[in-house]
Amino acid sequence: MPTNSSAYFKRLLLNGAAFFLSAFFVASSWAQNADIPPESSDEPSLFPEDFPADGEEINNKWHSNLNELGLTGSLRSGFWSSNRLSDNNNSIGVGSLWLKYDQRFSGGLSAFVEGYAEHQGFLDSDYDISRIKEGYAHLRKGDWDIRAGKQIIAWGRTDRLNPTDNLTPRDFTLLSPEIDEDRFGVNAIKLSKVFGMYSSLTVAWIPEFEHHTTADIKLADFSFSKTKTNDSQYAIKFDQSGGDIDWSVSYMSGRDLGYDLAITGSSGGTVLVNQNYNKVETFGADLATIVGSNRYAIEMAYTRTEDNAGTNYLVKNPFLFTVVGIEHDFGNNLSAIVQGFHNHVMNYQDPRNISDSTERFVYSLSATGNGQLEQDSFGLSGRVGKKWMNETLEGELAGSMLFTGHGYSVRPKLTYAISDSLKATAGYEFYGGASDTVLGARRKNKAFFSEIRYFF
Amino acid sequence: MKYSMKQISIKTCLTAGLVIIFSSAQLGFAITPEEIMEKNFIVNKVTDSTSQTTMILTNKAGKERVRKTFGTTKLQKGTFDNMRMTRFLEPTDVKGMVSLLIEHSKDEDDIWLYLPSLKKVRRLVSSNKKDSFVGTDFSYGDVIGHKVKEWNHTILKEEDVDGFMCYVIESTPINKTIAKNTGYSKRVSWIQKDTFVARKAMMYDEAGSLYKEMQFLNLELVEPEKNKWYAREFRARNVQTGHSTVIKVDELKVNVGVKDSYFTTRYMESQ
Repeated sequence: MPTNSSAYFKRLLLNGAAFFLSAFFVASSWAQNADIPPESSDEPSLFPEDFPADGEEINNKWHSNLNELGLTGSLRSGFWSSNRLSDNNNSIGVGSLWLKYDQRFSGGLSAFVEGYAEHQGFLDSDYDISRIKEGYAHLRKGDWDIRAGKQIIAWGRTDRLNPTDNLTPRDFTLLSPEIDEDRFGVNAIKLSKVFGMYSSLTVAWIPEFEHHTTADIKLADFSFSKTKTNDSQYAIKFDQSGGDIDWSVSYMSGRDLGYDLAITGSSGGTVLVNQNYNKVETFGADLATIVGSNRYAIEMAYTRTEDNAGTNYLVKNPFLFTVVGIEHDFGNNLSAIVQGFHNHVMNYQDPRNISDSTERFVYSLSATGNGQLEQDSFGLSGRVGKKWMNETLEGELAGSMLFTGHGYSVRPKLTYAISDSLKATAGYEFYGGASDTVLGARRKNKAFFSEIRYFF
Repeated sequence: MKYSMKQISIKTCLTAGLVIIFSSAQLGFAITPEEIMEKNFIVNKVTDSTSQTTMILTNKAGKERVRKTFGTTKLQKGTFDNMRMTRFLEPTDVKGMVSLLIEHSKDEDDIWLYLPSLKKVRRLVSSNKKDSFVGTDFSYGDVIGHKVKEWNHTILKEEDVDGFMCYVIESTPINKTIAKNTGYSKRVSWIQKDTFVARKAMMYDEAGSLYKEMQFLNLELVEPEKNKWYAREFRARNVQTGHSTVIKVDELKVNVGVKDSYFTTRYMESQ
């Protein structure tokens, strides 16, 4: 039930939009069934609705009927020598079923749903989870696009480190060899207007904030809790994709996807700490271009917080986060990316100078997690990728290093496509360096992982 | 004796022209190899098209992988530079992946790739033409077409291929960069004399060894008024690894009024 009239109003609006699109969806399906041409006759469809969906080879398979209905998926079985919860659980078996529904209808309407059910088995305990990652309807009319429902909105042109990507959360506890699968959608309405071939203006409204999923903090004598907020967020972006340079400028007003720690009191010798997701505004820009065999990208964002003066340790300070990267294509399916990043904290005050030892500990912990322990943090990230045997075998070595505090991570991974339906992956995640760095603090998450995926 | 740059250029051009004319005349051809390759380069450049293809990739042991795609092409106004969009339909792990290629005859091409797992369109380096096109035995350069001016061409002889008389043209890169970017030190093409369509080709690696053999089958005249032909089946075999690829064009529609707006990153993201 909605907790107040504002939340009720927001849900009403979102549900109204979803209802409108759903009604359109049903009407379109009916129209399609009534033999009305799927697209206006003056333009061909970009999506081959009349294409024999699965071809001769696939029609013989058990999942042909599912595929014809727009359903695809994968069955996954994996092993992880550690989870991502920074605890002592190890030797974890993971089995999951992922399903995706992707269907296009007449009149520029489409629907997409993706979700999964997973079972994790520890030596002494079990854990089940099922989630919808995305579920939305999309309507394309002329120069306009509208997408309503649970959706991932991914912004930014640098590689994996994206200062402007602040709208949809990630689940940092997800056990998947593919890092980018940790993105999860939020209920949102996204409206885009296209100008010419290359430019677009996008406005996104997220009625209910959802934060990153991170490991619970477990420390003796401390009790941590999360404060749920229902605030809405909105964002706007002007994007140019085409011509010599791809670029965008963006603005977001909403809540921080990561938390700040705040001591709220004590109870029976236990210090009570809240994980707060405070209000932020982010002004961002990115750019990417190709020169010869190199791709250059830069992305930066200035984030204004509720502590612009930098005097309140309970709230992170405003900061400017910049990532500059170069990708070189060596040919023979070998490429490498190197990125440098810098975080500058405005009005910086060192939490390690707080006189009270408990406050000093908690606010230093908070600053470590937010990369604000130092006024200026520098680091490098990189990735080398290589494909062999007509892209049957793929190797990747990714890593990052913080010059401030010397935290680092290394992640080698190999993927072999046994067939079109079967893929095997194995790799290792290694974290090291000082424990008061974001990467060094994850030492307990060092893990060997392997997974087999069966696609259907 | 000292010459100005202009004098050297004029002398070089005259000498090169004489060599071309002499070579063609000596072999008795009324057309230069450059003209043949120029005509071949544009013979399949239709006004616009939509197509559905099946790619069958077979390794040395005979194990097959199958990819299905849906694609559109359109010539940019007043040029023979194509825009190409390719959307992957199968198998499941690449379904939804979309590539967009905008050719520039006088500059590097633009390539973008949409990966559903990233939910983002990403601009790619395009100078490297030798990498495999989505795991097939065709390189990006083979798919786009090798720019005629980047190669030196010679007519070797005339030869019959499946009952069609062909010019046999040897093409070598004009410099090391082209050789490095395409991965070829030499290409030999069999170009049908009356239509200028390629019937087969052989590619040699940078070390000069035979690398790939290609065949272009089931050729159709798809735009008669412009003499545009299209192969409905493409075959390539890497003779060094034994891996082979067959691309079958299951459906092809030409000159159907494809709009420019389809070749945009917006359409790539339409999952």
